[in-house]
Amino acid sequence: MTVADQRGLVIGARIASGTVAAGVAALVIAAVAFLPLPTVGPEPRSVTVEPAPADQVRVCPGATMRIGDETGGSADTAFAIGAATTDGAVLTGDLERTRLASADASASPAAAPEELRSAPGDGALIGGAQIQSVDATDFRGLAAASCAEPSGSIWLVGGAMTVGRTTLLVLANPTDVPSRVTLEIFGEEGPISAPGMAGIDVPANGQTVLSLAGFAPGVASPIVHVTARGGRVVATLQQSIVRGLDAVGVEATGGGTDPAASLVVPGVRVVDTIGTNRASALADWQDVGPVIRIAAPGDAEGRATVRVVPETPGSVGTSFVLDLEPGTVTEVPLDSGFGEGEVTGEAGEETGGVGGLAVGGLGDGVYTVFVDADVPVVAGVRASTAVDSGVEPEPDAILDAPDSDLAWFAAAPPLDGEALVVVPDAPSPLVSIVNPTQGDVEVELAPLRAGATPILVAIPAGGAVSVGVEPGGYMVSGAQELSIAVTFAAPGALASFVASPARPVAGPLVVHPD
Amino acid sequence: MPGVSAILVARDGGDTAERALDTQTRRPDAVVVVSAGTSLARAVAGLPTADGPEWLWLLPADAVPEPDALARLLAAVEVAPSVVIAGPKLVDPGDRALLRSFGESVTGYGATVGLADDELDQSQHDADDDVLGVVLPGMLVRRAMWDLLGGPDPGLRGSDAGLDLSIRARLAGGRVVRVAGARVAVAPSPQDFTRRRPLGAAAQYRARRAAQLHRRMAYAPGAAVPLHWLSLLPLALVRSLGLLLGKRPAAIPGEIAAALTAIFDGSVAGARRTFRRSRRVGWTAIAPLRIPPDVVRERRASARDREHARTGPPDLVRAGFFPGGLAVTLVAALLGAVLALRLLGSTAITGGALLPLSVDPGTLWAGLTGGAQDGPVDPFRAVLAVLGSLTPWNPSLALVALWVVALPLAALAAWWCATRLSTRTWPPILAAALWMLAPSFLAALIEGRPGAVLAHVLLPWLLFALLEAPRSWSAAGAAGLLFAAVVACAPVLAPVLVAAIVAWAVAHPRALIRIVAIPLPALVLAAPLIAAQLARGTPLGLLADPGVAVPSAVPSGWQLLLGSPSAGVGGWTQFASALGLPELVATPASIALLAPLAAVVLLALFLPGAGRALPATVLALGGLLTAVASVHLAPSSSGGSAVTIWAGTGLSLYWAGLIAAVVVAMAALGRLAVGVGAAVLLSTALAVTPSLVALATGAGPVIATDGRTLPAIVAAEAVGDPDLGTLVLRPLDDGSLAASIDRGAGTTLDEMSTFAATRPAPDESQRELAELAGNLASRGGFDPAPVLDRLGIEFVVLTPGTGGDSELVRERAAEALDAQPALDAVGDTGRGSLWRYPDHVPVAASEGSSSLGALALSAQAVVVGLTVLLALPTGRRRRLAGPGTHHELDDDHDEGFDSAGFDDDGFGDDRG
Repeated sequence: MTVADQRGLVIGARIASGTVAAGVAALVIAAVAFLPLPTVGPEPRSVTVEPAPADQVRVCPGATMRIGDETGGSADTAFAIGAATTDGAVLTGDLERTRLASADASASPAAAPEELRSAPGDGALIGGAQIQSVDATDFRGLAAASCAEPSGSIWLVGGAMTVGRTTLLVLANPTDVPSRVTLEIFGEEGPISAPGMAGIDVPANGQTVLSLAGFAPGVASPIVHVTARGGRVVATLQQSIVRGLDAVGVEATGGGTDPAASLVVPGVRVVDTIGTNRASALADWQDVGPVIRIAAPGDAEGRATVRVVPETPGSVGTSFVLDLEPGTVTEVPLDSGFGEGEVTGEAGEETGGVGGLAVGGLGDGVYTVFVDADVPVVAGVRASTAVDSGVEPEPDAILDAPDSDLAWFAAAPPLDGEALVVVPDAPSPLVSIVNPTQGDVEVELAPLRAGATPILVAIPAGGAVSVGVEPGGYMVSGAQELSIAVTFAAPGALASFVASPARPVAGPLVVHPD
Repeated sequence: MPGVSAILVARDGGDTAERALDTQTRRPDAVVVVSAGTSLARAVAGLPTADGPEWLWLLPADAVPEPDALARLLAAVEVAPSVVIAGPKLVDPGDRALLRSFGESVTGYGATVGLADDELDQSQHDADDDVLGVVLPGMLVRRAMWDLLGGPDPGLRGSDAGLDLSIRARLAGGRVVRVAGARVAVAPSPQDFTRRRPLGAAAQYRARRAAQLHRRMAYAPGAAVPLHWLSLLPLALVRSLGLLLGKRPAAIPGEIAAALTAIFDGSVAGARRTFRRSRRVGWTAIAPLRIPPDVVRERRASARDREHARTGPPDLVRAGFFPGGLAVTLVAALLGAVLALRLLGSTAITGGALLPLSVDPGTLWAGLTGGAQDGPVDPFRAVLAVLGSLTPWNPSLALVALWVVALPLAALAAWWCATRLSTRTWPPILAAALWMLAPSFLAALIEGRPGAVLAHVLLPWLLFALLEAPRSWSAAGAAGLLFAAVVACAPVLAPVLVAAIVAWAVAHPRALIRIVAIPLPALVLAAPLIAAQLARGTPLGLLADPGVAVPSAVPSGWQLLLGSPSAGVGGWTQFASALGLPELVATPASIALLAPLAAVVLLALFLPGAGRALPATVLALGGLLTAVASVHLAPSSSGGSAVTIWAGTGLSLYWAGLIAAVVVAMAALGRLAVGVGAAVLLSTALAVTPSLVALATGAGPVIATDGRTLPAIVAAEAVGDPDLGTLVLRPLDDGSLAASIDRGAGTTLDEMSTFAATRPAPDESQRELAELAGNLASRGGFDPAPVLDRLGIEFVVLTPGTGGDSELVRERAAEALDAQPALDAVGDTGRGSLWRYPDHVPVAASEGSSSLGALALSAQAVVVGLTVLLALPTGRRRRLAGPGTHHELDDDHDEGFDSAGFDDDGFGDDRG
């Protein structure tokens, strides 16, 4: 074999091996590029944590408060006026009742906010309500409030800071940590900003009382959004009216529904229409007619349809449409629908002025107010009572003031089937149940006191029924998606509160421990 | 004429001596044949004493005495009646001018020294006939003296039997001479001629050492014997370390065995009795015949010089470091500094899989003992401890430094490794440049993956050491350490590297054990982890990347082929969109720019040298398959996401194989090499330009930091309470919550544990942690105080949301934490909102490590320490061949080990 032959052999072998290697490489490249392969490995670690349920807690706001004493001194200090009567009930287990520290250090224990507590458990229902009939300097009227669950976000519709109207924000913190509260106030001119609206401290297991006039003096139609960081709070608006020199109305308004596209205000009691009609002719009595206060707190303007539906067959209802500016409160008489098809929200102090014509539209009775809007809205209804003096007053005459009171009817959130409603001992209590659903519903009201027979109430779709009941606790069942309000009315006395479902407990959370 | 009996010791197949005796000018009067292995003393005792021979001549049956040998021996003893033993010149049968043995002596410490072993006979020893001893073969010994001494010490089988007999003869008042005129040709290693079979190299070492120890015990004064006996084992261990340093690990078993033999040596008592009986004069009488220390040193030095002269200069010509290697390293250093400009001056870096290290080296090393909670520690932790100890005043700085000098380190390593593949200047430079521009390496720097960066820097050194391992114990030791480090940094490389090592061992069967043992240190380091993972049933977890588990976008097969371990095709996707180009151009651009490299690799398979290019491409293939496997294995999870193994380390190996093929091709391309190489380099540099830009602009997550991972108040609090717990809650995009507990001033990189990260399901403590986190993040009736106390938690950190549903979870958690009566809100910090548990009581020191863990740790330390000793280069002995018999033991190119070199143990002075 020659050298050339050998070289040829070597080169030939190299070409052969190189070709094989290149072929293998091509195969590998194709395989890597195109072969789908599964991924192997354990599932990521995760634990779904069901948070431990907390005690059920309700807080009753406590006695009516005033800022400054009767003589006008101590203008920064809160004083309790008398004491409210609180009733609480639980379905099962023990009810633990304790008092928080009142903002008025010198007040009697009975004047302090009361905390109702029961251990968590299946079907553990708790409820409570308080009532106070006040007759003191500058304060006269009937105020009722439900004992509410503490929350981090509360919408309050009510109050006024015009002359003679005092509105206090009563904050109670039943938790063991201090709460830092931030306020958003909407008025007829739009959102209000003022110093001190953020970082309001509510001490742990304590109470703080503020005058809204400090933030929004002169605002006629406030809507307040309370947010709390740290401890959750129960917020109540307390409004009192002095017309001239006469104290004619005290009201406590609890939290209503969060902004929603559909609202239900149950059990609006229009009473003494003749008396109020007559009284509205008096100086500073223009705001005794029933009104709806509504606002779209979001960024978008919207349009709301308000339907005022009487409970009693044969009575006349009404409906009207409102255009809403974002963040601006609109307040119009409930009977705006009569005569005009549509009322543009020109809210203001003058609104009451045109009431003389309109109030005649709604007769005495229990009404349900439905609000349907294309944006989330908050709303509430105010009604007043005034004992008919029997004489037609001269316009703007100053006469003896008739006995009078006001009430704010809050929008009631839909219930989740069962609720414990406590009706305090006050005149003419009505439990108003609204069925906004598409089907007829039968609701059972089972009195908690022994030996009483349950009351069965059939409510047609879209209808409402009010039931006169004895004071006491009632176990309401079958109230899925229904709204309930409890109202009281007597000559010169009007009060209401709504039943709220228990806040949903914190849902399960997926935690990845590392 | 005195009577002479020749004692022939017969081994299989040797009767030359018997025939040679017939041709002697002075024939022995009687010939006694004994078979090897039987006692010489007994054979001699069988001879008649009264009329018996005056002299005994001991001969191996296969020896060839020259015809006048006996006559000359007798002539020498006849003129000097005091002579009791005479030894001939033992020469090589093939080359009579090569001395096998011609007199023996001992050093001050009693080690045997052959006076003329394996020297060329130039009559240089002929003038001097008085010696301390001679070997048994060829020895002519007076019968009377033989009887007095009781023959050879039965405790000495072969080695040193002649020397011992001679020494005892001298102490009994006789003289021992060597006779230059008498020559006997003998087979190699004549000392063990009484054995049935010649000994192997390792056994010879053992026999020599055992004989020395036996003599030491036999000669020592009575009072010193217990001392010597006690010193035997410690001395053997110390000398074993010396043997390791001297790159003679194969001799270590012999050393230990010799010491054990000496410890249980029952023949010492008899030997001492015989010794005492015959002794007439003191040790001082023979002192002049011992080798003085300066002569010992001189002889050792001249032996080394002879070996230098014998083996000649190193057989491999390497490219000089100047100027090529230096230039490429300097360019790399400059580039690296420019790319890391924004990190210069910072004390720590974080981001990606990076975290700061513990604050001091003590903590780093103490962490190796591990805690019971996180299971066995990762070997990577040891790597970090070594790395952090480079800057002991601030270990985290070592990571910053690594990021700054990574490029020059990689370039230097690749240059050095490539010099083993090419003797020319240009290919190593090309290899260095290509290696530091590896897409996977740049991606590791961008994404902040310290393990991958270290693996990339160490990989060329490992390949270099592997290439050298068949020649050198030192390189094998270094390869063992480097393998352990690389596998610690990138466990996923272990399978392919082990396969490569096994293939390499099969290719070098003479160094099989040495190469196969390379993974041993890595195996020992990982043993606790391996045992724990196997016991838990998660063997896959062994492959998980150490350090912080970071989920990454999984690259496609095409992207892997282009060397890109991330989904961005080496940053081209982002680069293209930044330039306003459609993202679709990314892959074609990358393919086009890497095409020259691929073409040269393909070419290498056809050019001369394809035989070396082929293994290189197989290595590349192994790396590629490792990368493909990596992206399909998700052994660990973090925050609810499965974390795949990072493909970059496999791609580094892939890239190494490609570069090796390029280097081989360069050698075959001749004058074209520079041009082709420059084209490859330029196009590759263009291909990775987006990565370089990303690195320079800090597009990745790596940022300079102050070394803190938790809010400052936690760090301040942790100063006095190092076990302080901080619950870290991280809202995740999917609306879930990740929870972990940091101890002390924050979790550091060295505290990360793959065993914890690869937990297949939450265990009891994790469930407890999850319950705590879930309830703290929810309003409810949960009382966290007992759990917070038990876990030693003082702070709760809620990190900012990252978009998606994380904001909702964060809101929920923040609200709940605010409302939690057990916690005080501290406020918002740059690292998240902070709550404090005011009732926290510092817990006494955390659980210590188990005794089993300490045992494992010390075993690991011993193995690594021994490997370090083995790996330490021991000066110029390095490329020397051992003398004669050491060849088999040490392989041909390894350092020679002078058997006398470690006899200066300072403990064995037999004079007492």
